[in-house]
Amino acid sequence: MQPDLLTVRDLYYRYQDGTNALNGLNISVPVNCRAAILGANGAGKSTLFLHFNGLLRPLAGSVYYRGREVQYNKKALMNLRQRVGIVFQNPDHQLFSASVWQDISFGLMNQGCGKAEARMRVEAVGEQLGISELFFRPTHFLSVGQKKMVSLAGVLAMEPELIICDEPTAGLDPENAQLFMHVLNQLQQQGKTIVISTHDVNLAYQWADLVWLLHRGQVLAEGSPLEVFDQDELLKQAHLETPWLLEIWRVMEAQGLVSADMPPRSKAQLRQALHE
Amino acid sequence: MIRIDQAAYSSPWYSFHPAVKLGLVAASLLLVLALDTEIISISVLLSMSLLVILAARVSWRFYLNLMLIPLCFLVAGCAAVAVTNSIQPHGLWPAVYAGGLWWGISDGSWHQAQALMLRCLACVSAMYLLALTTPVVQLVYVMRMLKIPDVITDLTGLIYINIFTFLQTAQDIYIAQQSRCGYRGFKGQFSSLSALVSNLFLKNLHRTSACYDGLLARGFNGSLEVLEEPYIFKPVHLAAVSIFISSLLMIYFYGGRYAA
Repeated sequence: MQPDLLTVRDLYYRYQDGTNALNGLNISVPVNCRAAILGANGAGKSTLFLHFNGLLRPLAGSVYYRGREVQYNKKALMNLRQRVGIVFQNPDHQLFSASVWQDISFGLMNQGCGKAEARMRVEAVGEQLGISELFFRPTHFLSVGQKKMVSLAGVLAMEPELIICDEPTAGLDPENAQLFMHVLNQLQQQGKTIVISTHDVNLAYQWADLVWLLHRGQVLAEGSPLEVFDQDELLKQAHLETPWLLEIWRVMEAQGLVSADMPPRSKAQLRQALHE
Repeated sequence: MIRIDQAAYSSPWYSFHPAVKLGLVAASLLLVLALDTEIISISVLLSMSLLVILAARVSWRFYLNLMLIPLCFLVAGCAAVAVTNSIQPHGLWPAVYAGGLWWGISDGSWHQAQALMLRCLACVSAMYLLALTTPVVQLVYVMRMLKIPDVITDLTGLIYINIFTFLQTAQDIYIAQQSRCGYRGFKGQFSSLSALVSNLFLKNLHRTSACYDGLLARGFNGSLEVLEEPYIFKPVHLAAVSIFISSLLMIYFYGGRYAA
């Protein structure tokens, strides 16, 4: 059997100020899934992500990539970081160069990619994400949506297998948020594995195939969105709420208005169910 | 500063090879400083201004505003040079007697001040041509070409991009303070400002560590290696620069004679 892409086992992490960010956390990310790590502020989402490509080293527990334990020497880390890309929540923390072109090429050059190859890959990524016309614009005059796309491009250019997006829709207007999630979907269809973190229950419910509910550095629930969001008590404990689609569906079900066995996962599905 | 930066990015000269642009400006500066004649200063001042307005398409109004900034300092500085003293009032205007000496402007000091003013303006106009057509990223590129150590080139790039977030953060804090009645009264001015500065420092520290994580996540290994933008090197540009410099030299060797 193919091992999962990334597994963390009994992960503990404590910050220097004494906060226990992760408390024996277990997660296993299957290959080519669309997964969401769901939790309120301070649940440990971002801390967990920093463990995914070895930016933080766990206090106890271990991280496995394709079944092999992550080593923390320089060479192994470089290798891991090429395979696991992180798109940070705030693009201003990621874009270090004033030139979009240069910023996208950064990871490639660190990988030791030749100039001709790097140039080809930067151009290909620009084309794929529709940001080619931004190449020679300064990063500091881009809109948030554009910055976010450029951050993704800088990660994607390295051709990682796993793409981690910390709060991908934070600070984006609905149109840009939708565009960004659409791009993530495309990447998943091309074979990438995508993990996002969010506190937006509606986004997680509609987008993900797999959800982990995080609370105080532990996994409260995991499974398909329908399984996870069915557990009202746990959602409440994690300071989250039921997605509105599910909530409306339950009311309609209780009144005998609908009788499909599966709740809708999107607005379109809800509309269709209502028609029937 | 932000407007100069924007002008540089939207300049029609943007994609020209930065080394050629820097070469043009550096050679002009060198000639102005080394030859030290008014006719060269005037030629450079005029040609640089024309290039900025006609070729680099900067609005003349904006350019004039930019030139006014150093002009204020120059007028003050040159005024000090123009005023001289003597033990007798002959040749001085207006001859004012004070402290045992006669003070005023003499023919010689007037010319000296004028030459100094022209030289400075010529240099400033050349620097503006560079600033208005060449973003910092391109200057860093030339610095790398000249084999300046990575530490300096990397820092230049990072500081430059940080200026923008720094300004933005400062502005955000300032607005937030004002909306809660900060900067009220003499004491308030100081306490609000000090809060702003210390907060700015903390915020930047936090941001820097986040940026560092961002760099590490993409395999940062000590130096910021990036792929340079593809700049267009056209021999015709180099030829144009050579012709320009040669004509300045011609003006110096032949034009100077007529002026004398």
